[in-house]
Amino acid sequence: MNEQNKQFNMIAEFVDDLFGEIGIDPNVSDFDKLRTTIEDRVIARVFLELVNSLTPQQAELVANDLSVGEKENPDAIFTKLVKEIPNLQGIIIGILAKIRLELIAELRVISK
Amino acid sequence: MKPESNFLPELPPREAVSRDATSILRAQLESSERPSTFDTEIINLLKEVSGSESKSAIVNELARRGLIAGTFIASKAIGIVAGLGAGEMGKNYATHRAGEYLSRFLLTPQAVKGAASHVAGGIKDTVGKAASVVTDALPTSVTSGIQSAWSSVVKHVQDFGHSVTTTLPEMNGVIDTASHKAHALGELGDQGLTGSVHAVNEYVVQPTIDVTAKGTGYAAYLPSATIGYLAGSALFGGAVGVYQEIKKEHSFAVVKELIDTMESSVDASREKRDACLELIATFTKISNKVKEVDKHGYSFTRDQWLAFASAVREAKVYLLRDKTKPAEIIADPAVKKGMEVQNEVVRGIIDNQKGLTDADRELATAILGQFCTAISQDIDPIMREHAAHNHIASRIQRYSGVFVRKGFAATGLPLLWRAMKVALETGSFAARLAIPFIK
Repeated sequence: MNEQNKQFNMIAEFVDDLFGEIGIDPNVSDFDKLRTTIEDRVIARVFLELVNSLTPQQAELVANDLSVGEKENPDAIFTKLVKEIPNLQGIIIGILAKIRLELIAELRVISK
Repeated sequence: MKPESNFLPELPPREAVSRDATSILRAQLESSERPSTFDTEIINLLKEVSGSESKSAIVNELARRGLIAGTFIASKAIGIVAGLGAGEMGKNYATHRAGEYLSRFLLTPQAVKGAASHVAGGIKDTVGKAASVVTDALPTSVTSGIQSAWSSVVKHVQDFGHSVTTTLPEMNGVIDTASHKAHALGELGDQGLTGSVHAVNEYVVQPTIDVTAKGTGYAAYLPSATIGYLAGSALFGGAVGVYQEIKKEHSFAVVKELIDTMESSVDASREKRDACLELIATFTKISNKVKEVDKHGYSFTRDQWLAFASAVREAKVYLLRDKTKPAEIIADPAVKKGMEVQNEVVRGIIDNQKGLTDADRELATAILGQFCTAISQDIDPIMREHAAHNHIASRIQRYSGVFVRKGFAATGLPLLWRAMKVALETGSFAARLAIPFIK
């Protein structure tokens, strides 16, 4: 298993645990679609919060990279900058804890 | 068997607005659900009080109704306590967030202005004034509760003067502070609770613009109560009196035009206006007609635009959440029969979740668009945002997953994943412990 798969599985595992806790039946209709959608949701939230944690200077670097750097590796600058966010691990734990609560509230209707 | 570790109580139905304000607030606190920020009631309320001389009268009235700040308190308190359970990392997180929250919690607009202008020497004076304002503004029953938290807050107010963006210094008393706050909330009577909401609103409403004016990009940390205030009340609810107050404070000249535009475009036969929809419609209108807007001389500063974008995101999220309510009714065991209904529920959830994802992405785009110097700084922020949006949005759509995963990898987080899972579980346990205090 390569590195990227491991990273991917981290979010997937988060979602799987969540589904398990809520008690969503894997046989429910559109289960895979639901799972993918929730993974996207988690990623989008983490991304928003990380962007939000950048300093203006860092945000400028990322924004410019995104707007003009069509050819470059899209993750290079962001990866570098994210490392500079103070207390990143704590922030991510906080994000995941928060969206976990939101998702539990929003998804548990399926398990009823 | 399904574990019962979910500590969130059932989502309550949207409360009837005729209920007693205190009981509404209590329900919100107990459920930690978003308050009914966008209720028609608030809009009408704002219209009623729009003739008031002072903004404080308006804010006080909102606070008295208890409709704005409940979730602000509850969600922050839960966030803090959930962090506390997460071991050392959680403690750091809690330190950061608790400091940020508590410093805002009792900040006066004056204190924020002092901080924003980096008048370090003025901070202590401002804090002193803030303290007396707090004491004077609150009924005695509340004062004692607030005071218990106050001493530990002062330090963070001072820290706030240095920066709102960097992690605050290690806060040894974070646990004490959080529990004091929780106790303070718990000990307040009905009247006191409303009073404390009053206090929160007094100090929360104004700082938004000032904080964002520092260009920190911390939009998502803007107190949701403040965003709700902007989005759901004055600016886009047609309460011109409130708009005038805000205009005085923040030169929101553009807002009058927006209100005028909206007033004329709203179907007069509609009895109820949804402030959320109107806000989103306005946002869309602006985005689609950038040049026309610019021709008419609209101009947002970065912070105003950011507040606007945040408010739109908040409105979208609120609407999307609201739209799931019917699904919940469908899912009632007595009603939910057969796969067809079940399918419908799941499809509805998927659509809703996609909408929420888009809302987050759009705000991230809006934030980054603010800092895109590759596009000329000379153009109006609305136009710049629009231009940047075109550049950035598609790439965020494609690459945000890569960003996040690479970001995780860069921190070594995958290695800590097991520990994080424990932290999350512990966090929920801690949060469950916190519920009685919040009640």
